[in-house]
Amino acid sequence: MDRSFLSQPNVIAAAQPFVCIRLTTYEDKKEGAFLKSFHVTGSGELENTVFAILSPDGKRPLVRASRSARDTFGDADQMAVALTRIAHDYEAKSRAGQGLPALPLVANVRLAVDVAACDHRPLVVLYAPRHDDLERLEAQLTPLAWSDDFLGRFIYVRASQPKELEMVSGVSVPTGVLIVQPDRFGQHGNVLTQVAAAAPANKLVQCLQEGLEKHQPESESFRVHVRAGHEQGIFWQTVIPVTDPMERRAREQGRRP
Amino acid sequence: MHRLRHCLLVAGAVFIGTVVAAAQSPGRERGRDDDNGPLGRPPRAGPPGRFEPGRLLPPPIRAELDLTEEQERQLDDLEREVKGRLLRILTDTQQQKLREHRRPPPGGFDGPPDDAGPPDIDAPPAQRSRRSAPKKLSPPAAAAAAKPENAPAAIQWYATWDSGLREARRTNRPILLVSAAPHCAGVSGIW
Repeated sequence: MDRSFLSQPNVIAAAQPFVCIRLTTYEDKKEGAFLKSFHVTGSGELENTVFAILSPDGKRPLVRASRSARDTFGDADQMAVALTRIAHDYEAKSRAGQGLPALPLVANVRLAVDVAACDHRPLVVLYAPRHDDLERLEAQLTPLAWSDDFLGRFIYVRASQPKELEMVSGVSVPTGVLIVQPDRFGQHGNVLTQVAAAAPANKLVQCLQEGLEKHQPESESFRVHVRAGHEQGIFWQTVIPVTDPMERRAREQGRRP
Repeated sequence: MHRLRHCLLVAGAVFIGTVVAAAQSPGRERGRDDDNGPLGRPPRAGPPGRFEPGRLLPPPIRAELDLTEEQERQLDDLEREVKGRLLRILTDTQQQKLREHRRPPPGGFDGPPDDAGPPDIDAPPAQRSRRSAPKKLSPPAAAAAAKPENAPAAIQWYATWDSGLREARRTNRPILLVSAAPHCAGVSGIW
């Protein structure tokens, strides 16, 4: 993924009026079929990346869809300008002020740990075996997630069974919120800080802040990361087959002894 | 001199693309007269690949060259650059004509979605959004564009299509959609 545009301050600012959706390619059958339908590849197959800007009903493209923001816009400044123009067109019709957005949850813990590693962000796990407790935790966390202090700084996921947390070490609360440091390859996590579900609201805020302070993002080049992963036998199994010809070839080469 | 070199690069790419498109005649794959062809690979099902602006090497040729990872990456970057420059040269009308030359994918066009299906991206022009190509803002409007100094640390992403679409419909806000694989060459922990 070309992250250079999406980490530019002017693009981040211009993206705020949008609902920003980032899917993980090859991790959901239905989403895979949807992404493939954009037809942005020469192979006719779903490939690693897709980029689009759509109307609120998700049906109409507002710019030319492509493999990346760079393909569509050429540079980050043009992207920011286009986002601002589109946002302006929708401003009068927006109902953004009505109610809080939902907590942006990743589908499962395994994927969430990987995404957190990719993003160099700490992972917030809402953990409770009972559905009611989980809903309550989510209601507490949602306004914090969208607040200025924490916006864009965490990845979020829910878990309700102990086996979902097998890849996370250091869990000591029966229900609560865990702030997790993903490992280098997003295959395991360590709890940085945690708070029980019954704790007061200010404890939750402190827990999030402490998690941010303790989190240590990895910093290495793409080449070093991939080479080390191959040497250590790291291999990510996708939910649906990888159909990007280059990625498929690279995966096969990486698995050769 | 620099400008001339860029013009020659783009002209060369257009020429190569035109030659490749002409060679991609319907109903016949290159070098695929028998089941496994001289490339040793079974023929692709369905029609041959569509013309792609900016594509410098047709996929069968590219596969035959057995490029290294670094070469693949450089070639991708070059094709993206050429494609971007080509599309900036062409007018909206010319880009539309280019799109009309592209064949439909196997199985035909996808229809309009009912719930969360695909956008009608290849629909006839009358049905398509006039906003497919972003217009450049005039200087006053550009100056009023988003100010980055108050931007948050990063974009907060919805991680599933269903949850994001629900929010977009609830608030009538447009959608910024990206998709990427959270692994590369099979190694997780990197996009």
